[in-house]
Amino acid sequence: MTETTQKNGGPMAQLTPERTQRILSDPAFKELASARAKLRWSLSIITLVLFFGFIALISTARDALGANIAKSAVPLGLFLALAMIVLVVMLTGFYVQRSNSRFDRLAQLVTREFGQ
Amino acid sequence: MIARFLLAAIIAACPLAASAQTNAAAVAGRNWIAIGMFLLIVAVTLVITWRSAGSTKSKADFYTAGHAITPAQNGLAIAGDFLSAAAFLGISALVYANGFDGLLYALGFLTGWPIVLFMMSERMRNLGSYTFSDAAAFRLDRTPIRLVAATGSLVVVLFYLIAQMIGAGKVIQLLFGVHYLFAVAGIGVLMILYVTVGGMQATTWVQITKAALLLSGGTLMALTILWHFDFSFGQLFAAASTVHPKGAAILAPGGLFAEPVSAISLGLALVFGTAGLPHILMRFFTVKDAAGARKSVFYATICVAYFCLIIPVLGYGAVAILMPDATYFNVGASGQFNKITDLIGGPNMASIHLAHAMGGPILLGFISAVAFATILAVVAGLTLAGASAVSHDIYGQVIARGRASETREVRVSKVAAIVIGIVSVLLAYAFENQNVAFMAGLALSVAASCNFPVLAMAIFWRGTTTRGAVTGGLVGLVSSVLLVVLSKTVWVAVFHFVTAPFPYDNPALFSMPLAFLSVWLFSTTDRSARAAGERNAFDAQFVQSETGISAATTQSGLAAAAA
Repeated sequence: MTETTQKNGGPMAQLTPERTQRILSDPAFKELASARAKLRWSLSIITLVLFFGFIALISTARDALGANIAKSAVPLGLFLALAMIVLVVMLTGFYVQRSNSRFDRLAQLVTREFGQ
Repeated sequence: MIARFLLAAIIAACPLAASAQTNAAAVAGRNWIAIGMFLLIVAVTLVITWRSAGSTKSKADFYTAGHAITPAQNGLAIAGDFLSAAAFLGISALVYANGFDGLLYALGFLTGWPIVLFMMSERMRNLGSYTFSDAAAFRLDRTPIRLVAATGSLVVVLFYLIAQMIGAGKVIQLLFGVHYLFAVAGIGVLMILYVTVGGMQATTWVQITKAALLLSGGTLMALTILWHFDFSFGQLFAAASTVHPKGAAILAPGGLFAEPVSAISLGLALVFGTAGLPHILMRFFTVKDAAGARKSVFYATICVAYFCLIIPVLGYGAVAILMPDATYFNVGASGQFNKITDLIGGPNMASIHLAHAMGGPILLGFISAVAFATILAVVAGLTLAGASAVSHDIYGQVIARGRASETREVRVSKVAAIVIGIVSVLLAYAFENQNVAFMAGLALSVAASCNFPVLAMAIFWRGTTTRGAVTGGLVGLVSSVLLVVLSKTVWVAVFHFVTAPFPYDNPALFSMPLAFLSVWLFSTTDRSARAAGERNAFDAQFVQSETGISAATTQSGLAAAAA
């Protein structure tokens, strides 16, 4: 784990254990890592539950999904599928917005302190 | 039966192969407008390639366009890489034939993207430089890890490429009436040119051009359809369900997702396969940093989502407009025709016929050219990803152990691109009339069962060791290939056995967990000193994956930035 820079695009050189430990115990880094992990895993789980939940719904409640939404000619299932598309975009948008506004700032703090 | 048809139809250009009828020229006659636009697209892409030719000298230029693509450009290019002709012609054909179920495929394709964003894009960018194996091999023994990752990449790339090439050859044969071999060879020559002459820079711009064409062409089609139905979805759905043989059933879920095991298995392959496609993962390195990678995935997600909204309009529009019109069908002697299978050129040509119905030969020409551009961009991206797996991972890191000169490695990459191009043309020619569904299905299943578990475990789990990652990757690779061979797509359809030992169409539900399990099992039981060192190195990898701070950037990068 020495900091020898390998030329010609070898694997990026790794940080020394000392510097790694210093960054790991930095409060800004801790906040960044834990908040981002929380957001990452909760959004991933929401996405997967939505998608596989929708599949489960289809295999259990096919008839209900074929029925039209009140006073329109648009079936419920079709509406839900389109709503899922919009929801997926909103989830990614939420992640990007949080990252842009919060995580990038924290990462910058850490980089400024330990990057040089 | 329906699930089988759908599987056959989706994942890559597979559906196009099903349309391998020879009533080719009947579709377009020789549409000179189409040929003109087609030549224009070839000319534009060649100009792009020629202009990019100067920027393929260094490795960073060749593999990643110097990490200088902006997030918005990269987002479009990712969408260009991802939305194959199968997505455009295949999914709209699925909606045409089956209605609602086709839309579910689009949803599965889209759902992979948030996963890529949350789990892959930023960490990949922080840990690697050129290929996804960089990130996988970050703290593990590079020789075996890169061999496994490169093998996984090459398998995915080759199968995906062959499936795309066969589909592309068929479309071009159908649209322009040229011989299949010439069609495939022509695509091969073009993609080799883009990659060897223009590298990632040219490939990126070909993809951006294609994405812009595809999205604007799709929008134009959707608008003309909606205009035709007074911008009322109710009218569109009503018109479609009165003429479709399945009637109002096309507006509700059909048989596809009724059987949960196949449905979940397919869903897993769609969602996690995306996160393991080497040509997609490679695109994260074309931007400056992790924030750029994240933003590009967001833009790509918007493009893919928008496309998923357009596709049902095209599919249902094709039902409502084409089905009552016998001129788009091969009408039998009795005057009877099947509204799905007798569509001239097969159901995959639904969007193409629809263009003709809505806008005459001009729109037909434009949409045909869009389909052609779509194919070109995808095969170029795949070729580049395959070539870098050979030159960067196998040659540069394993054979030359990181000591090859840049010029030499780039030269190897160009030779690899030529070889991959020639091999895929030959294979596409040899398998012309083969059912290619299994190749495309295999590509996504291997990506979900080999590349994704190795990568995810290496970057997220401290306990992963070289032994575990290599074993898990091989288990995923072998089991997914084996299960596809034992499924009825191959065992019954290709080898003509009576029953298939593996009763499902898609292996991901079994091969993917098996791969994860193997990584875990063979890592936790690994008591070697190397394994201990690799677990210890997780902290340094974790810090770098979260912040992008590396030994190299801390020493030179920031100094350069400050200067």
